[in-house]
Amino acid sequence: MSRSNHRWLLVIGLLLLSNVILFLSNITLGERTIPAMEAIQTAFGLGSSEYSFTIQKLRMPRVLVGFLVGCSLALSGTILQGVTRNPLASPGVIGLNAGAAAAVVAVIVLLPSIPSSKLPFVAFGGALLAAVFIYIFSWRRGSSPTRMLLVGIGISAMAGAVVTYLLTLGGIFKVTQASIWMAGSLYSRSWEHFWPLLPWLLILFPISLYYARQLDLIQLGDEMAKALGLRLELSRLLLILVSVGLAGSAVSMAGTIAFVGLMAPHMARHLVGNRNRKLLPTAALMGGAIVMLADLLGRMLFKPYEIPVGIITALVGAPYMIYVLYRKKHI
Amino acid sequence: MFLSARKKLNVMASVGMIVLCLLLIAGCGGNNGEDAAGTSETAVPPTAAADTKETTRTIKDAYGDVEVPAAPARIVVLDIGALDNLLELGVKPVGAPSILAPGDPYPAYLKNTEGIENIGSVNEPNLEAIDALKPDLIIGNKDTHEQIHDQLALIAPTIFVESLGITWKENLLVHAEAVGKAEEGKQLLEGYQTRIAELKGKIESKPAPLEVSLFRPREDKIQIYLQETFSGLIMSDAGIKRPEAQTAEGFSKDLTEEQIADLDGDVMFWFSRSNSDFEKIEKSPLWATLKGVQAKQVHQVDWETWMSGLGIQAVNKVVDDLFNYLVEQ
Amino acid sequence: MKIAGLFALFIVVIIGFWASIAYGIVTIKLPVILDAFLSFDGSREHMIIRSVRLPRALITVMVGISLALAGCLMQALSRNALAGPEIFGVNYGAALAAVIASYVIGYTSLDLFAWSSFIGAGFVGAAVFLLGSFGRERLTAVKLVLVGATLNLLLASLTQGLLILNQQSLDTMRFWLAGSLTGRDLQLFLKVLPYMLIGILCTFAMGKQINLLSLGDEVAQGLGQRLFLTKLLLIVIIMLLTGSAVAIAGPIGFIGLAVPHIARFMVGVNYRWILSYSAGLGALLLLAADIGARFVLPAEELPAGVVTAFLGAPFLIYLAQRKGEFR
Repeated sequence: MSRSNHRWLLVIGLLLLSNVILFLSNITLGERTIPAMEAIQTAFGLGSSEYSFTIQKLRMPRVLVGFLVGCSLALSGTILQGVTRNPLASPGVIGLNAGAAAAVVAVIVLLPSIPSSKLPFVAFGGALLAAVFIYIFSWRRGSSPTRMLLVGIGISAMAGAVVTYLLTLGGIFKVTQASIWMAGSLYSRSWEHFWPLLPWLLILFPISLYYARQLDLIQLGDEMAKALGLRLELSRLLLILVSVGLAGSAVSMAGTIAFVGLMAPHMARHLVGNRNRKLLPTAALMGGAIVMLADLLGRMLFKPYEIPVGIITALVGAPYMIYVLYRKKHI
Repeated sequence: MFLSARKKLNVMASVGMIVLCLLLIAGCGGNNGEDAAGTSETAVPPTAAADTKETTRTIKDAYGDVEVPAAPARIVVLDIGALDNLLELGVKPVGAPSILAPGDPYPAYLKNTEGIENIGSVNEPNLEAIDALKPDLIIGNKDTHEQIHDQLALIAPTIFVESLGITWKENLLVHAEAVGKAEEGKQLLEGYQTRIAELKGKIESKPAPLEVSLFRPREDKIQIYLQETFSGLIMSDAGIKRPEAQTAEGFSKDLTEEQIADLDGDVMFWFSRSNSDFEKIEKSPLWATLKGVQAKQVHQVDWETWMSGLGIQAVNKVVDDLFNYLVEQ
Repeated sequence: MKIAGLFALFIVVIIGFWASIAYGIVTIKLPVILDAFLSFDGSREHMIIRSVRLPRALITVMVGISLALAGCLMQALSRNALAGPEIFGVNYGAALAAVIASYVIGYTSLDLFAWSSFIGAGFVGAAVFLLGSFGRERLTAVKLVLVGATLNLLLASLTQGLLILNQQSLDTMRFWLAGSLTGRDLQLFLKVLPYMLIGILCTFAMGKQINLLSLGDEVAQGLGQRLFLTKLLLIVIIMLLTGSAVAIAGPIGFIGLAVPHIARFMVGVNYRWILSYSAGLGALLLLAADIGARFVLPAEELPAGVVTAFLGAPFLIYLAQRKGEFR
C-alpha cells in the first residue's frame, strides 16, 4: 500500500515538474527569439517592456489555455473510460467533438454574422446536444455503456456528414477558418479564453475526485456495483455530465484536440493503476503536459508554419494507440 | 472500505497541491496580464505620440474611431488587398502575409515587394512576428481577422475594413486615408472611373451588345460568378451584359454538367488554380454546343487578379483584360 | 422462390436505372431517352442523356454493387456483423493517401485521388486481416467498431491537418470527401472498371469458400480449406472492390454495412444467395440515395455520400439495439 502511494507521489511530482518545465519552455521559445532569462523575468513582470506583449499577451495565455484544455480532456476521457468500462472510449470517439464541430461549422458557414467570440458557446451547445442524444438513444430500460458507445459512434458519423456537407457550401475563407478550428488550434488564444475555462476545471475536478469511489465501483460491473449499494443510474448520469462539461468547455475554447482524452488516461493508468483517486489527478497532469508539449512542437518544428496542436497530438497519439491495441490483444 | 485514513489524507494533499499550483500559475498570469495592460498603455501611446509630434488623426473603421499616427512609417498589412493598394499608393509596408502558406512569394502581378517581411499566412498571421516588426499601424479586415483584432490593437493602432472583394472601392479609400494619402486614393478611384467610362462607351458603341460569361471550372462542378463578386462588379460597372443565368444577386452558383447552357455567352472568361479542371469540361461533348466555344471566344484570365485580386492594381489588370478581349478584338 | 425474388430485384434495379436517367434538374421523358440511344440527333438533351445521365447511372450501379459485395466479404471474413468499408476508415485512408500524394507530387486531380484510394483500400485490407486474425479470440463487434472509430479519427485528423497546410488541395478534397456521384469522369470510370469487374466476378466465384469461412476457422480448416490462401485472396478482392468504388465516387457509407444485413434477412445464411441479393440491393439503394439527393434541396444537389451517411448512422444504432450487447 504505502509503496504504491510513494510511487504515486513520485509520479505526480515528476509530472508537476515536467509541466513547469514545459510551461517555461513554451514561454521562452517561439517565432521571436527571446533570451531565456529575459523571457522568464518578463513572465513574472520583471523584464523590460520590449518583450512584454509577446510573453504576457501571446505566449502565457496560450500555454495556460493549452494546459487547462489538456487537463480537462484527460479527465473527461478517464471518466468516460471508467463509466463505459472500455479503454477505447474518449470524448472524440463517442461524438462530443463531432457534435461541437458540426455546431461550429454550421454557424461559421450559415450564420457568418455571428461574431467569432460567440463560437465557444456554440461549440459547448453542440457537444451538450450530442451528449443528450447519445444518452436518450441508448436508454433502454436503463443505460448501457456499450450501447452508449455505439450510439455515440453513430451520432458522430452523422455529425461528420453534416460537417462535410456544410464545408462544400461555404466559401473557401470560411471553410479554412472552420477547418483550422476543427483540427484543434491554440492560435491566438488569449486571457479571454483562459478565464472562462478556469472555473470549469476548478469546479469539476474536485467533483470528479469526490465521485472517484463511485467510478471505481462502476468499473466492477453493473451487478457488483448495485450489490455494493451504488445508485448506478444516478452516479453514471452525474459522471457523464461531469465528463461532458469538461470536454465541452475544452472543445469550446480550443477546438477538437484529438487523442488527448484517449491517450492521457492510458498513460496514467500504466503509471499508477486503476484506482480513480490516484488516476484522475495523474491523467489530468499528463493531459496538460501532452497538450503543452504538442503545441510547443507545433510552433517550433516547421517555423514559420504553425501546425495546429490537434495534428501533433494525433501524430503522437496514433502510434501510441496502435501500440496499446497491439499489446492488449483483447481489449 | 479500502481507503485508509492516511490514504485519504494523501489524496487531499495531492488535490490541494494541484489546485494550489493551478491557482499560482493562474495568479501569476492574471497579475502579469494586468501589469502588461498597464505597461502597454503607458508605453505605446507616448512613443507613438513622440514619433508623430502629437499629430494623430482619427479614422473610422469597422470597429469605430481609431487614432492613428499622422504619418505612419512602419505599416503591417494582413491581406493582399491592402498590400496591393498600399504599393500603388507608393507606401511600402514593413510586413505582409502570403496568400496560402507562410513564406510563399507575393502575387506575381505586384511589383516592388522586395524587403517586405513575411508575417505568415493571411489566415493565421504570426502575432509574434508582427510584434517584432514594431509597427505603428496595422491594416486588416474583419472577415478574416476578427478573432485577433483585440490582440493586434494592443500592438499598434489597427484599422479594419469590413470585408474584401466587392468592397474594394471603400477599402481603397480607407487604406489611403489610413496612410495619410486620402487625396491619392481618390485620384486612383477617379482614374478607374474614367477608364471604365471609356470602356463602357466603346462597348455600347458596338452594334449588338456582347453577352459575357464568367465562370470557374472545379473538380466536379462549374461555378458561375454572379454580380456580387470582385470581377462581376467591375463588369457591371462597365455596363457589360451578362447571360441571363448570371445576372442573379449573390456570389456564385454551382452548375452540374447538364446545366452547361447557363455558361454560354458571346465571350467566355474562365479562371482556375489548376488547368486540369478546365480540360475536363473541354472534353465534354456538350462543350462544343456553346456559341462562345464555336466562335472561339473563350479566354483564360489570371486567377490572381480576377478571382483573388482585391486591390486597385488587380482592378486595373482586370480592366486591361476587358479592353483587350472585348474592344480590341 | 429465391430465383423469383432475384428476378424481381433485377426489374426494380432497371426501373431505378431509368429513373436515375430521367429525373434531375430537368426531367426527361421515356421516349426521348429511347431516342437518345436509338436515333441520336445531336441535340443538347440527347447529349445530356448520353454523356451525363447514363454514365452517372452506370457508375452508381457499379459502385453500389462493389460496396455491397465488399461489405459481405468483410463481414464473412471477420465474422463480425458490424464490419463494413466505412467502419474501417477506408474513406479517410484513401483521403489521406490522396492528400499525401498531392503534397509530394504538388498537384491535385481526380486521377491522382483514384490511384491513392487503392492505397487507402490496401490499408483497410490489412486492417481487416489483422483484426480478423488477432489471436484465437475474435474481437467482439463492439470492439471492432471502436477500433475502427479510433482509426477513422486518426486518419481524419491527419488529413485535416495536411489540408490546412495546403489550401488548394483543401478546395478539391472537400468535394471529393463528401462522396458524390456528380461530375465523375467517364474516362476514369473506364480505367477503374476492369478492377471492379474482376473483383465482382471473383467474389461470385468464391461463394463456396466464403460460406465455409463464415462457419469459423476450425470448421473451414476441417473441411479442407487452405485458410491462409483463401483469406489472402478475399482481402485482395476487398481491396479491388473498395479501392475502385472509393476511387470513382469518394466516400460513400452505409451501403457496405447495411446491404448484407438486409440480404441476410431476406435469404438466410447461404452466402451464394446473400451475394446475389446484395449486389442487386446495393445497386438499388445507391440509385435511390442518388436520386433522393437531387431532390432534397431545390435547384441544388446534395452529395450522395451525405444521404447515405444519414441513413447509415441510424442503421448502426438499430443494429446496436437489436443485437443487444454484442458480446
